[in-house]
Amino acid sequence: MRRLTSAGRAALAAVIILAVAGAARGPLPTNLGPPTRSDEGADEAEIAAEFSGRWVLVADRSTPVDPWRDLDLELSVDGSEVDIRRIWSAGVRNRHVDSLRVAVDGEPVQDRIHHWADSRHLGVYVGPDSTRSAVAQSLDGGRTLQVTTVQTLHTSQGSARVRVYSEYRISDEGDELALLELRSSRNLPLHYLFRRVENTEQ
Amino acid sequence: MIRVRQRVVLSTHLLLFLVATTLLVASTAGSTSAQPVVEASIMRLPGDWSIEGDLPTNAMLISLQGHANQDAPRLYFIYPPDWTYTFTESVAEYYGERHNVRFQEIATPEEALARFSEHVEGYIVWDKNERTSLTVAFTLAGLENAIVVTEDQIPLAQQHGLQLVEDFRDRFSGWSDHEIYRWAYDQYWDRTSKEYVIWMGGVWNDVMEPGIADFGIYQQAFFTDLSADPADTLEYQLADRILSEMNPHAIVMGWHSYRKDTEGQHVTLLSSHGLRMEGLNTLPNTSFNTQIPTSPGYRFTNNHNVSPDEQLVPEDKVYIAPIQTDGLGIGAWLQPGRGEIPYAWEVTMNWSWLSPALLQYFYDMATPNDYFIGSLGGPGYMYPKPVPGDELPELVEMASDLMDTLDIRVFEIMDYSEGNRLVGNLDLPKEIVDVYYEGMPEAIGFVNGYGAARTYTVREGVPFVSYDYYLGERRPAEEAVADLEELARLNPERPYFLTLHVRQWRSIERVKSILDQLGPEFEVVPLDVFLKLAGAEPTFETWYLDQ
Repeated sequence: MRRLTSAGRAALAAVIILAVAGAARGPLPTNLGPPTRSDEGADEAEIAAEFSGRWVLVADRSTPVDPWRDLDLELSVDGSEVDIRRIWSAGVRNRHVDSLRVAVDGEPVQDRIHHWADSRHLGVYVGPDSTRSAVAQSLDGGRTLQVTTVQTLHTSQGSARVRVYSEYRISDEGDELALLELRSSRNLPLHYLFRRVENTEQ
Repeated sequence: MIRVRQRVVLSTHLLLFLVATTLLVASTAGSTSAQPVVEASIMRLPGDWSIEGDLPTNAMLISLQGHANQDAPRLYFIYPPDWTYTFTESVAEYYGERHNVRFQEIATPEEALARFSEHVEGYIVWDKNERTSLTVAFTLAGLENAIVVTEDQIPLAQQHGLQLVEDFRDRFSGWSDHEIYRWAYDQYWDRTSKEYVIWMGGVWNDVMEPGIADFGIYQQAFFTDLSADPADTLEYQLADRILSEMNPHAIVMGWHSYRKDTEGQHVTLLSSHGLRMEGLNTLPNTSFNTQIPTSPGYRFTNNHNVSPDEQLVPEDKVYIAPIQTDGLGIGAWLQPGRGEIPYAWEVTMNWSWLSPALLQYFYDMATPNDYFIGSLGGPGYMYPKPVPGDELPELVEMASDLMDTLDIRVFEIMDYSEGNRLVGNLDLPKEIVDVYYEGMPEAIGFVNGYGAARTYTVREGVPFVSYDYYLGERRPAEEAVADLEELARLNPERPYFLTLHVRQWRSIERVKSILDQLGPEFEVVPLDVFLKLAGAEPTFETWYLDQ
C-alpha cells in the first residue's frame, strides 16, 4: 500500500457526492478517478476503539452473501488508522480474506486486490489493473467510519471502474456493527449487520 | 417485462408443434404396437434412507433389481417424491403409453423376493454398525449373484432358498474406510468390471441413497466411496490406483462422498485418467432403463430456432439465454412454467445408449421453448484441463458423435479442477478451447462454466462464451434483478450477451418472475439464437486463462 499524491484529490469531491446520493440508473460514470474525502461533516477525531475486534454476520438481518455462507469482519484500530479485514467463507475449503488499511486523515491510499469476492454470482473479476484506491474519514465522534474505494474490475466487455461507498457504524452499546455499502454499478444498497465476537482468550 | 424475440417464430413453432403433436399421436399408436410387449413389475420404495429406517429394505430390493433385470427389464421402482431424480413415476407412465411396458404392481419385499428369487442364488449380510460394509456387499452381490441383507432379513432370504455367501457382521469393526476398501480391492478387484466403477457417495453418516446400485450389480462393478482429496493420502492413493486400472475412457458412475471430498476433487482425479463421470449415486432404475430401446425408427430431434447457416442481426439490447444446471432428470423439468420462456437443458448424452428410452422421454416431452445442449466437458462429465493432453481430442470427438446422434449443436464445458464459484477459476487456456473447435466443427457455439467464468472468443461466427451469471435457488428475486441490472451496467456496450445459469432447483415460473422485472432493454432468447447473435456481433473481449 502506498499513499497517493494530492494531485488527483481536489477534483474528485463530486465522486463522494454521487456515492452518497446512491447509485443512479444509467451508464456507469466513465471518469471515476481515485476517491477523495468530503470535509463537510468530517470529524477529525480518531476512530472509536470499540470498532476493534471480530464481528460475525447476522445473516437474517443482512443482504444475502451467497454463494458464500459467512462473512466476518476483523477490525483493528490504531489511532487514526484502521485495518479492515473482510473474511468470506463457505465451509472449511473456501475462504477469501480481503484486507484494507486506511487512515482517517483523508489521505487516499492505494493497494492491490487479487480477487473480487463481493458478488460471486456475477461475471466480474479483478483485471490487469488490480489497483484499488481508498479514502476514509471518521464521523459522528468516531462512531462512524466512512470508506470509499475505487477499483477497476474486469467484465466480459472489458474494464469497468467501480466505486464502493461504505459506512461502518457502531451501536451505542458497542456490540453491533452496521455496514452500509453503495456500489456505483448497483441499484440496490447492500446492508449488513454484525455482532461482536467476545474474546474468550484471557 | 420480457420481450421474447421469437414471438413470430414461436407462432410458427406453435403451428408446427400442433402438427407434430398430431403426427406424434398418430405414430405413437403405431410405434407402441410395433414394440414388443414388456411385462414388468413395479414397486414403490419407502422414503427413509437411514440405516435404522428403510435403507435395509431398499438396499435389499435394489440389489434384487440388479439381478432380476439381468437379461430382461423386469423390475422397476418408483422412488419417493423427494428423490433427487423426480421422474420415476412419470417415466413409468410414459413407458406404458409409448413403449409397450405393462407393469404389474408389487406391494411388499416378500412379494418381490417371491417373484424374483429365481434370479438370485445367495445373500450377503452387511453390518448395520459399519455402513461401509454395505458398499462392499454391493460389490460382492454383483459377483456372486446375491442380494444384500441385514441380520433381521436373514430369515426372509432363507425362506426363499437363498444361501449365505458372506457375513460381514463384525468383519470390519474398527477398520478405517481405507482398510476396508483395500481389503475389498484385494478380494474382488480382479473379478470386477473395468468398464464401470461405482462411487457410492452422496449423503453420508447413517444414511445412504444407493439408487445406482442396481446397475453396478448388473455390471459386476466395484463399489467404493474413496476420497479424492489429496490430503486423505491413503484413500486418495487407492482411488487413484483403482481409476488407473480402468479401461480407457471407462465410466465412473455414482457420486463423490459429501463427507470426504469435493465434486471438483473427484472429477479432477477421474479426468486425470481420461475417465468420465455419469452421476449420480441416486440415478434410479438404470438396469431397467438400459434395456428399453427408443421407439422403432425414432430419431432424436432438437427444437432448433435457427439454421446453422442463418444470419441474424442483433439489436442494441441485453440478450439473456437461460440454461438449467446439472443435467436432465433433476430439477425443474416437471415443475410449473416449463415451455413459457426459452430454456436450454444440459443433456446427459450417454443416456442415448445407456438409457435410450429415458432420453426419448425428455425429447418427446419437450416444448418448442425447450432446447437441448450437450454436456459436460466430454462424452460424460469430465474436466478438460486435467485430462492427459493426448486423450482430449479423442474424447471431444466421442462427445461430438453423441451430439450428432442427439441433434445437438451447442456444447457445454465445466472445469472445477482449479477452483469453483467462490475461489480459483473456471476458465480454459487457448489450447484446450482449440481442441473443442477442432473436434466439434458442426457446433454453433460453446458455453463454459458453472458459476460465472471469463473465457470468451469467437471464430468464424461461432462464439465460445462463459456464464456471466449464476442464479442460485435461494437468491431473493429483488437481489437477482439487481444483479442482472448491475451486469448490464458493467457491460455498457450493446448488444450485451448475458449467459444465465439457473440452479436446477429453481422453477422456471420463478425464473420468469425475475426476468419479468427487467426493463425493455432486456430480451430473453433461445440459446441457439443467442449464440448466432453473439457470433454476428461479439461485444465481449477474447480472453483465455493463459493470457
